[in-house]
Amino acid sequence: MSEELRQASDEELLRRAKEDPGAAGRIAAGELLGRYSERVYLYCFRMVRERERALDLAQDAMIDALRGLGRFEGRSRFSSWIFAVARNRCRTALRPRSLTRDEEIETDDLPGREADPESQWIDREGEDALDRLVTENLAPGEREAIWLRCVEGMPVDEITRVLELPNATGARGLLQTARRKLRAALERRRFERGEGGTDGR
Amino acid sequence: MDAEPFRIEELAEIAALPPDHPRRVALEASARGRALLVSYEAFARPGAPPPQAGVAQAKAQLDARIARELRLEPAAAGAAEHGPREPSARSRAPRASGWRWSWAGALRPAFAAVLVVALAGGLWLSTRHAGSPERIVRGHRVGEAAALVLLPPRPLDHGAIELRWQPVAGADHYEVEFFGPDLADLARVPCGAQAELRLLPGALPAGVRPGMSVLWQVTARRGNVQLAVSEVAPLRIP
Repeated sequence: MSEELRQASDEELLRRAKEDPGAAGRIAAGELLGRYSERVYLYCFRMVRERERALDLAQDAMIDALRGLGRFEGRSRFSSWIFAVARNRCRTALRPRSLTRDEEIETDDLPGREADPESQWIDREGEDALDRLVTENLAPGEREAIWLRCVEGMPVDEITRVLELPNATGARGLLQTARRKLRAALERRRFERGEGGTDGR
Repeated sequence: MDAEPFRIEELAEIAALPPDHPRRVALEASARGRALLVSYEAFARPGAPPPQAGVAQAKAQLDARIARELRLEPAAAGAAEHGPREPSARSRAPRASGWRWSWAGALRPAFAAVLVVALAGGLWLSTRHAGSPERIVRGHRVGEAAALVLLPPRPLDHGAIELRWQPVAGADHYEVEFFGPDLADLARVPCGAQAELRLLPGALPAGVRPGMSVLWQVTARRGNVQLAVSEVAPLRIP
């Protein structure tokens, strides 16, 4: 790998990778993706907390990125594009977490999506509706924690880390509070709509 | 899904804005935007990795996988010593059956020809050095020998070129060998203790001429003891 390639910007490498279908372009693509392979892996590892599974996800994400390079128009920074690719891979693989039920046992290693009522609600109403619900009913720290947990699928201890929560219970305490408030908010909503009753939780 | 007030691809740009910038304020006003920004910043600045993550090895595996996907030699893509992550039967499959189809269409003919020669040369030289107890192939460890890694040649003024390699601990001199496309010995140049050799247009080693496509290889020695042998790399003499 030449020093010139190592010092080239992401944008320059992307340009070379897209414009040159030969070996030079592919070497540029390799250098560009190599800059992000560690970050992609670490992101996946922190999401699933299991090395082999994280490697699978990271590999899939990197291959997605490689095959999508030709479609990436370069209107945004490459770092956020490849983040979006890795995030999509993780979100597809991770089971969404309940918006209202507390998690007594962490089961992040379960693959696939589970169609619980909240997931169905999110799918039906859309993330904007969820955003409004969360914003109207939760304090700022609780909003971030519940979103990271339930939509992004981030593990609880990782939320504690990224939000730099100092307290001993970390994100778990925030999530419990947030879920209690959301249960109450959804109950009020059902009552106002005349649906009445509780869901038995 | 609902229309987004911003695109995820804008996160890096927004993350670089000051906290009071209107775009950033607008993004952080929503739970979704704030969470995505936090998530992106954790991606961009991941901090110290957990020891159990095995980041170095994982990166090497990913880089090797990408290199193979790109049909590059791992060294060219900056991959480390670890093999790619696919089943070993596939990753170790001989190139003879499939690589011509995939490479030949993509590579420029001249470069492909040089690579063919380089691969053949590597096979030939690996046989040639098979008796050596410390053999290095393409900069990777074989047995217990230390690696000798070639660095990209550096063009100099007036058509000169500087061949470079990483110094090998304990070596007191190096030797650069040049081979022709037919794998014939062209020249052998002693280099002293310097990990470089300058080829000047008017003072090329005997047997090496301007414009030639050759292969080159470096051997590190201490006295008469061979410490390491590099990969065989193609080179066009300027």
